[in-house]
This record gives sequence, C-alpha cells and structure tokens, in this order.
Amino acid sequence: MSETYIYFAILLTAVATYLPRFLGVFSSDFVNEEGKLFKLVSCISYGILAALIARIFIHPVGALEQTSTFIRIFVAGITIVVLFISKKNVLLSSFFGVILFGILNFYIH
Amino acid sequence: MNKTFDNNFKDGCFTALGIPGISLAASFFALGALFKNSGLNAAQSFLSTLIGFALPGQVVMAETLIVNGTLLNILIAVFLTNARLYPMTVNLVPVIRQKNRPRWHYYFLAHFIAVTSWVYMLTNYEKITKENRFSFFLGLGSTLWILSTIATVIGFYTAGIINKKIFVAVIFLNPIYFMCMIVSVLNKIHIIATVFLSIILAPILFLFTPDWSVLLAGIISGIISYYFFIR
Repeated sequence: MSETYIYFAILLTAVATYLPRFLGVFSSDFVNEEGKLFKLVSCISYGILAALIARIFIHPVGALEQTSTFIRIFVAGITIVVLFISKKNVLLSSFFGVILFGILNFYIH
Repeated sequence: MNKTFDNNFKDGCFTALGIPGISLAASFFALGALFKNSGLNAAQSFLSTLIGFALPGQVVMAETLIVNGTLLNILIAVFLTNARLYPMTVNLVPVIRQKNRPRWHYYFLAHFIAVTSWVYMLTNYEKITKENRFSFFLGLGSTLWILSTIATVIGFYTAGIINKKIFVAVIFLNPIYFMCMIVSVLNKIHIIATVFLSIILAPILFLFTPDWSVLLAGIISGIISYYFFIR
C-alpha cells in the first residue's frame, strides 16, 4: 500500500465524516429548539447513542473484542448502581467502572 | 452577537480538560496504536484525527486499509458509520444558534461535533444562557479535538510499550463515560423509552445487519418513542 493511497484514504474519510455534519447544519434551519421536530431528532439522536453504547458493550471492535462480554456487561451494571448511589457523580462512577473492569479483566479473564 | 472568544469559550476549554477530554483522549490514544499496526505513519495518524475527527469512522478506515479495501469502500463505509452525526448535528445547532451569527460559523463548528462534545452539550445546555452556548461549545469541541489529535500521536509512538491489560482498561473509559452521562440525564419519559428500546433493539439488529444496526436501532426507537410520548 503506497503512502499516497493512505493519504487519499484519510482525505476521503475526512470528506465522508464532514458531509453528515455539513448536511446537519444545513437541515437545522428547519428545526427550532421548542418544536416537535426538535424532539423527534432528539429522540433519534439519543437512540443512536444508546445503540452505539450497547454495541460497544455487547459487540465491540478492536482491543475490547478480546475481553469477556460478561465482564463488560457486569461492570456496566455495577457502574450504574454506583452512579445512583453517588447521586449521579459521572466522574466518580466512570473511574470506578474503569478500575473495576481493569481488575476483573486482569485477574479473571 | 457576543464576542466569540470570551469567558464562555474558556469555560468550554476547561470543561473539555476534565473527564470528557480524559475519556476521549484515552480512546484516541488507542486509535494511535491501531494506526501504527495498520501501516500508517505518525504524520498520517496526526492528519487523520486533525481532518477526520470522528473515532468510529477512523477505525473503519484503518480496518478497510488492513484488508486492502478500495477507496470507494472506505468512502461508503465511513459515511455509513458516521451518518449518526447528521441527526446529532440537526439536534445540536438549534440549541447553540445565535441571532446574527454568520452561517459559516456553524459550518466551521460542525467539525467539532462528535459524541463526547454532543453528549456534554445536550446534557448541560440548560445551565448555559442561550447567547453564550456557541462560544462554550466552540471551546469544548476545539479543545477535545486538539487533545484527541495529540493523544493519537502519543498512542502511535507508545504502541506496544504499555501493558495490554492496562491499555484495554484505558479504552473502556470512553464507553463507560458515555453510559454514565446518558444514564445521569434520563429524566424525560420519551428519552428513557428511546434509550431502553434502542439498547434492546441494537444487539438484535446486529445479528441481521451489523453495519446498519446502530443507525436503524436509533431511528426505530426514536420514532416509536416520539409517536407514543410526544405526538
């Protein structure tokens, strides 16, 4: 694979990434913060994000793929419990989740 | 129109240097290592995050390069992966819109719209006055972008040095952070319904169409929740 080919791949990736953002700004003209369309788009956006999170926990790609699905889901569940116990402290809960995952992944998997 | 680079811009920058930046940098750190293993050099890794700032699309590009995919394959695969940025942008721009601000400012700002910046802004925008949101988001998004670019290069050069189990734990910070952010703001019935439905649908759809599962689960659950709870 030549260097030029990789540079073209990077450039095309940038174009394919910016295009939905560009179209999003363009389309946003028809949406106002108080309208129903905003709420529909909001629902879809949260839905996509939730699906993305579910996918990372259940069917991850890359380095996480080699870790146990049970551990990933177990840690997610315990982290949610900690989140509520800590009165929704995102920082504390996130670090708790990572440390727990690190320990379980190190000793069990 | 307010001055753009004011205290709100600085607040956005400082916010990004906290947990949003740490979690995102951890993921881009891993991406740098992936790039090295995929045959990219340091300059290419740097350029990729600089101009194509959206991690899932960059991962798809690297994986397609590994299997000798064509440029057309890369273009289509990355576009499908990043199509989620479309509804996210449509959702975010009305929140940060300011009267009299030139259109091109939003097209420029769009480069910084990614999951981390979007989640933070959408879960905190009510704490920021409408006229200050653009500057805040610009500070937040641009700082996350700079951190991610630096983390990619560091990840490239440190690939293989860090213990693999620690490396994997570091990568896990980003999804855990996303999850905590989303769960912490589940206070509206239509959003709660959407999130639960999507979490159930996504793994099921993955069995039939892995490439489209995230997008389809989000669209279907969003429309169903809207129909039952808002319309």
